Amino acid sequence: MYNTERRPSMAERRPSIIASSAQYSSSSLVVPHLAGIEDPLPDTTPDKVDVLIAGTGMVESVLAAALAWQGSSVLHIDQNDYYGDTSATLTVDQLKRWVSQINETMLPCYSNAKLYVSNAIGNDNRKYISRDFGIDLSPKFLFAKSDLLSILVKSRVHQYLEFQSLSTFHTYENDSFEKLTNTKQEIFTNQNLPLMTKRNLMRFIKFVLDWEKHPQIWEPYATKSITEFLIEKFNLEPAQVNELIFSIGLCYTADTKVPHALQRIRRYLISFDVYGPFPVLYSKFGGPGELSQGFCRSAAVAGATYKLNEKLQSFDPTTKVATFTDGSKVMVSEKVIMSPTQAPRSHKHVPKQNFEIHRLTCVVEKSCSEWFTNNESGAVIVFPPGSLKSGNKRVVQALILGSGSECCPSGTCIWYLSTTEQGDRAEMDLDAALEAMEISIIRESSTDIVNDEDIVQITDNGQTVVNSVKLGQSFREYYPREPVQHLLKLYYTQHTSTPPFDIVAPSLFENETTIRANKLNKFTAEAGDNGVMYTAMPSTEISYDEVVTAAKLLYEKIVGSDDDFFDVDFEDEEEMMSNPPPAKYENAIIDDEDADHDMDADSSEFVGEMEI
Amino acid sequence: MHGIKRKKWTRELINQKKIHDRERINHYRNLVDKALLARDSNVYDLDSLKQTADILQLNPELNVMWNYRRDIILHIGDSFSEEHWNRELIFIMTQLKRFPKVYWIWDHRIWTLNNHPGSSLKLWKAELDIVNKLLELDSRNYHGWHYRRIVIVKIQSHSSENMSKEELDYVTLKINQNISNFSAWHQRVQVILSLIEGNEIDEKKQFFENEVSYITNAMFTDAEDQSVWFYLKWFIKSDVVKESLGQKSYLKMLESLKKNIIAINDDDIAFSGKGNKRCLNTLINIENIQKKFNPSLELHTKEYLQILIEVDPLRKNRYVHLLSNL
Amino acid sequence: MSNPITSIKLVLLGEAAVGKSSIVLRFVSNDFSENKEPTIGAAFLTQRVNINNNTIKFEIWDTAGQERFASLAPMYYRNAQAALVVYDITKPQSFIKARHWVKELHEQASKDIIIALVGNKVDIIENDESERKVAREEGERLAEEEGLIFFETSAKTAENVNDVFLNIGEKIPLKNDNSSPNDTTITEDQRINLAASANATSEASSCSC
Repeated sequence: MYNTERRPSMAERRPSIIASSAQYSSSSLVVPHLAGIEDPLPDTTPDKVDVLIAGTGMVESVLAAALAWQGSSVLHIDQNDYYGDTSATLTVDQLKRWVSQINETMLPCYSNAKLYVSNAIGNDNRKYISRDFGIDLSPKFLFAKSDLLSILVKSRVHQYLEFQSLSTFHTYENDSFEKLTNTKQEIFTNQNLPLMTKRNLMRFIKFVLDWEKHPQIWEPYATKSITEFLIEKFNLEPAQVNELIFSIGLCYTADTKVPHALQRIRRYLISFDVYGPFPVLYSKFGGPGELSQGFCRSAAVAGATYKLNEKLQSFDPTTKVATFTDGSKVMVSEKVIMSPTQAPRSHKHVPKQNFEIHRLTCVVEKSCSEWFTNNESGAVIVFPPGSLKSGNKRVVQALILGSGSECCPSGTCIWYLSTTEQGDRAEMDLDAALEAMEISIIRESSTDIVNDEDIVQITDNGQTVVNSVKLGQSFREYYPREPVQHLLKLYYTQHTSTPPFDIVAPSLFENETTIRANKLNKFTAEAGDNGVMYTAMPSTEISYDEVVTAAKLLYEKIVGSDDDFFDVDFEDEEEMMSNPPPAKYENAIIDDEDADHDMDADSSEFVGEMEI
Repeated sequence: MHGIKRKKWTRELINQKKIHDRERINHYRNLVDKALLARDSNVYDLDSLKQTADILQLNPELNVMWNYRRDIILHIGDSFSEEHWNRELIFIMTQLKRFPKVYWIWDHRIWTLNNHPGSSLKLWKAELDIVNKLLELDSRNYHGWHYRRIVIVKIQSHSSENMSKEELDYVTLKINQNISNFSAWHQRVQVILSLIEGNEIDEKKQFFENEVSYITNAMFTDAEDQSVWFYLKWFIKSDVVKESLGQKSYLKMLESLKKNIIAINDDDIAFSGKGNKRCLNTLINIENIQKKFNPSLELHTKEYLQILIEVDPLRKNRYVHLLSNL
Repeated sequence: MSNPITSIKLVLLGEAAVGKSSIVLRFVSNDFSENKEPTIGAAFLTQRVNINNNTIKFEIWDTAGQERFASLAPMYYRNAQAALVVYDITKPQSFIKARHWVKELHEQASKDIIIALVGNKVDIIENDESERKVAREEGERLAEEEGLIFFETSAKTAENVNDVFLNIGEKIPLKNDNSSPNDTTITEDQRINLAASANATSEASSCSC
């Protein structure tokens, strides 16, 4: 099916690197060179590369790093003057330019961008500075147990980044935000859950952790909806069903198929307590934009060449020459990989982007710390179908990042809302969710009343009386609503070829035209993108889960196999420090052959100690 | 150990290691021979103390060396200063960190604390902090819990304060964090007995009724967990509970527990078609108690045993035996 | 008790072939540093140094070639506490470029970054002073205007190389210095270390009793 011929590995192709690195380390492990420390690098782009990648989004950056470490020569370009492309983290000024690009229809795959920026944000003598903000174009968080996390550690890219925990997942129900009950401890100590509900919830959680091993339980429901399954098979109450499907499982509709939903619920639960009592993490200073930069740097360290402000004009699959808009050229011996956003103007093969993701990003002038746990600075709020005034049919997901994430200045907070609803309905749902959030944050942060003195008053003779205003929801009626100050408000629609949480299929990367063209060796006349392989636009998925799968599939198409995808073995200081060499005595192991040595009763103890 | 790469054992490496090991073994034997000789010649000084430390670091299981060490310390007498005693505690702690499951080390720690010239109360209270930290790292460490009980007894005997109430809070916290903590449930039994014995509970009836809801809550949260059922078994059979509740309430409590256990069992049958063996065993226990009070009670024990033979095949013969005895 | 280790992110900037990497290599392979073997990791180069009884761990970031087409990522400057801006005293063009990098650092990096301006290759002018194309005074003036540490070095003969790093190290607020309001120092304890999962951590961090 695939090209079985394996490309030579990095070590095979570039023996000089191993030889030159040997002087720094006696280890037999592959130790990378630091680019620049070897030879002065040439000041021009290379004449010939194995792979040309256009667009520095998440998938493209992970791919570039994987290829560079494998030993391929990579030229990685981006038409923008910043890293990240579809995954970028932008300052307010950059965001303004990005929006106008969309509206001048210069940027495919995006539409309907509307941006409001308050006067308070500017560059000189304003309250807030443009570059104090880092706005993600496709915000994401990272599950503590996930393939991307393993790759971050394996590639050491995690050393460039700082991660913070996010443990608060709210489900919006009956006009209020309910915090999740999902750990055994929470279930056990929760006073409000009926006993049978506790039992059913625990039973489901135990089941879902290794659901694939219990087909007798779920297979009868394989083609049915998760809602049906949870209610019929596990007798769960609507509140728990909503939490499990939408907040823990992060599904978009109540009729999600059982296996899909179970896999997603499991993903959350197995991530809990890997690094502490939280399921997900996010990177400081920005999400995918920051991670892309990290992988690009990793690729550069492994020898990839980077060039921003560079755009492909055309690629000729016969001569294998790629020509850029600035007139420079490069021979590409293997493949040209390109994000649809970076397509040359004369493109004819950009795959159809059939699905819409509607996004609403707001920066509000409130800390929103009421929504966060302890020292955290992030939260997720999920609005299940039917929970909003708009009568939403699909979920609205909101990722909240406060100033502790260093994505926005102190006293402000970024709200990222998104929905998979298509067409005009989507914006109505987003608006309804925004309104619900505004009402909630005003209610919860009303400083006048949070002050204890307003609730409990001490009379002249020293008696304590409780003010007639009660805590809780009645605040809403009692307090005049001051509107939430918006510093920035951005609507846009992103288009993608990936259906909502479908698994990335290999077919996505080779549109039919390209395949046919390659076979017949005939190409569309005047198309600048003949023979180019397009990557998928980010899907609606709020976690990074699709990224590695997508990058691996592309990698396999180029290299022939994904066996050595990030197959690098670094030995560095951190590792040495955390694993002190075993104490000398531990070598006093007794081999079986040594049985004739009659050690006292002690021998077994020594053997045992080897396993510390 | 995690992360350390396994070496490939080439023939040469194995040979090298054998030679190396032989050296180590000889070294160890020489040390032991020398120390035993010193002991037999009644040598009790700081040098011989150091020798025992060297050996114990290699092999903490050699109790004869711990004995010799204690003899040395006692013989040195007053010139074994407080600073020496403190260093002894540090030595033991490093040993415990490496070998947390060697009884001799725990024993020696208790001996050292008992003989330490410093303020006993202060020493044992500090020890409680250490145990807390230890249980934070490994909340189910049996040695830790056992040692904790000793420490508590020591503190109580030196201060004449009863710590059982605080201890109950501590145990509750530990169980809340993880209801599958067998040691914590076991400690709960000890603490409750001590509270009753010390007459520390004013409203005994209320106390045990709360305890019933605590158990019920745990039962529903995780009916597969053995430690909850173990605790329940103690609870229903305990004379203390029976007396504190009074016969009427006690029987009522049994009936209510029974109802809930049947509900759990029925729920299991509805879900998986199989009865729950822990529920069934407990139901038999409850019936056994009930029939002493009410000989005319309609019993289901036979029925339960027949189901148990099916759902708990490992103990089939036991159930068959019980069935034949009915 | 050993002193806490202060980690410093140090970034290298300068035109190609001015000897950025040679200076670093000279520094990390010199006898003066604590452990002779530098650690060449996948991410950056690290080197520990003892200064006045304090241990400083330099995390040295190479540009990895990304500066060539003005393609350095914001991540490169982020949280950098020190920067080495290197030029070649025999190449005036490289000094112009150095000015550019100093300006760039003031715009992109944190306000209290410590910048060392380094004129490299003084070994070349030892025998022939006429090879010098950038006057020492010129470097000194720029350093004074911009508040930079200034040294002329030779990576080849090791002249002044250690002094550059020692000088930076002495200016860095130390981790155990409570009076320091500087919070950009990398405090490893606040980060979630992805390389160590919760279970592994609790195994490793035995109680300090």
